[in-house]
Amino acid sequence: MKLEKAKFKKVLEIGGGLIFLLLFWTLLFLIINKPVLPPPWEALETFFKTFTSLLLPHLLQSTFRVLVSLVVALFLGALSGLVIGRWSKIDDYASPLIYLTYPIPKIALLPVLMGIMGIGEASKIFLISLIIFFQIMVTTRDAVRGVNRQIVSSVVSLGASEKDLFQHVFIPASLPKIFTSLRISLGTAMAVLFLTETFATVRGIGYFILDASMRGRYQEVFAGIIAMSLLGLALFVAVDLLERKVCPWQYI
Amino acid sequence: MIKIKNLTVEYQTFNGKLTALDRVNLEVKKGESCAIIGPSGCGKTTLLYVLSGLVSHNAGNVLVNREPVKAKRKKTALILQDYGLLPWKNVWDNTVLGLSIRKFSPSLQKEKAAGILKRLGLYEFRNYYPGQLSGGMRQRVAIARALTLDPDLFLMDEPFSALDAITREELQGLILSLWQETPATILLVTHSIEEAVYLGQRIVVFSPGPGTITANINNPYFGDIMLKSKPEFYRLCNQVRSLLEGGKPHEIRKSKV
Ligand SMILES: Nc1ncnc2c1ncn2[C@@H]1O[C@H](COP(=O)(O)OP(=O)(O)OP(=O)(O)O)[C@@H](O)[C@H]1O
Ligand SMILES: [Mg+2]
Repeated sequence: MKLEKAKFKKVLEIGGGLIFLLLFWTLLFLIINKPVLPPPWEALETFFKTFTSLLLPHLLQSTFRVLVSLVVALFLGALSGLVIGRWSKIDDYASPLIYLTYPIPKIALLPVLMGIMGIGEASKIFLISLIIFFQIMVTTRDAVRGVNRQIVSSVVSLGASEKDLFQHVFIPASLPKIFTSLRISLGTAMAVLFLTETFATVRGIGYFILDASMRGRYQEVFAGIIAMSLLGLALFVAVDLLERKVCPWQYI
Repeated sequence: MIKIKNLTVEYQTFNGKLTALDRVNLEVKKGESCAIIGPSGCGKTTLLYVLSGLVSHNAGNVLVNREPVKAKRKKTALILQDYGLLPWKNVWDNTVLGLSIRKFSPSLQKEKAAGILKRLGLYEFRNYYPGQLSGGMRQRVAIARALTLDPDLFLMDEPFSALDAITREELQGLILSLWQETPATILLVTHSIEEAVYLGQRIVVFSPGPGTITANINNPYFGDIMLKSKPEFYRLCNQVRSLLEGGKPHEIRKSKV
């Protein structure tokens, strides 16, 4: 009963946001009144008409890229964050390295990466993972460092080994922060995804949008943008649901 | 049970060494309850950490049960001021944590934890997370977790200082009655003179840091649940208070003026 109500509320909230967005779009369309900005109904019509025939293969390709990148970056970022956060000796060496490499505009590396790894999936996935890896690692490291010392002392006094500490203290303590960084990374990942897909590929929603805009098919451009934002929304909802499942104590 | 000889502990800090404890000597007999009281920063917490093996000492001897102190001694329980509960585990999982780390069989874990949680009136709350409990209940969970391992030595660092007066008295009563059921050795650090007199068979007074022991008195009234309503209680409290004040660094105060 309560759950039903909560679900209803969620749908209402998302629906409200959607209506607001569509109204805003319509308003812009009326003000600008140029073919580069089609009205939402035309874009939606194109979206539904071309979804299975045109959009879907591109969308699936993009979903695959962004999902693999997120999983790889999450795993490696959380793992190294845990290690660096726990042992300050490693941190002493790792932190300068992180701060030196973190600000490098890694997108600039895309042509280089393609030269090394080829123009296939590997270079794209590597680049997206690399960029969000830092966000996740730094957040995890800080979460581990910030664990209450009294908690650690108490659990050690119960006989905990280093492995027990990770299992019972450091991993659960950093999970909520990892989810936050994952949400932030999601936005970054989508942006980088788009960029990598405008480069030496004929598949992916990024390519679809770019290709349509070169041909002046603005309805298709916006159908592609709708597809991309729906993908983003689906990923955000998935992360939220996963967090509720994995961190129930956050929702009491 | 506890034999401390010439214990000195130094910390490394930004501006060199800081002596937290200076040649401390203390003996606590098996089954004795010892309250430690002293000004802030005199090294009380440090002493408990040394006894639980979490902080190593620079000089002196520390024996627990005739053995040199070591980390993770199976029968030492440490209870800290902010309870040391894991916010991501519910009451049940917090309680069995020690048992599961020590690899007790699941059936034994269940039996022990259920018995102790019932004894402390927490069984109905076993699915609650610490964030859903009052401060007093959280501290009871911490006590329950400590009890599961059948400790013979309790080290408690200001366990009730964050609680309101009524809850504090209730938990002090709980500690006293648990001790009367199975007398374990207790080392209780406290800021409250009343608590020291109520729960300490022996009351140890520390000087301001670096901590040394300035008084070690026997409390003949210990164990009397009604003690707080008797004049002897206030006489002893006053005695401890004057001992505490005698340890204040008057020279520093003068030079400031
Ligand atoms: N990890 C540490 N590193 C450096 N110095 C420390 C550390 N822990 C404690 N100290 C210092 O050692 C001294 C004793 O600290 P301790 O925590 O044992 O005092 P305390 O008697 O428990 O004080 P309080 O009553 O305020 O809890 C203090 O001056 C403190 O600053
Ligand atoms: Mg202290």
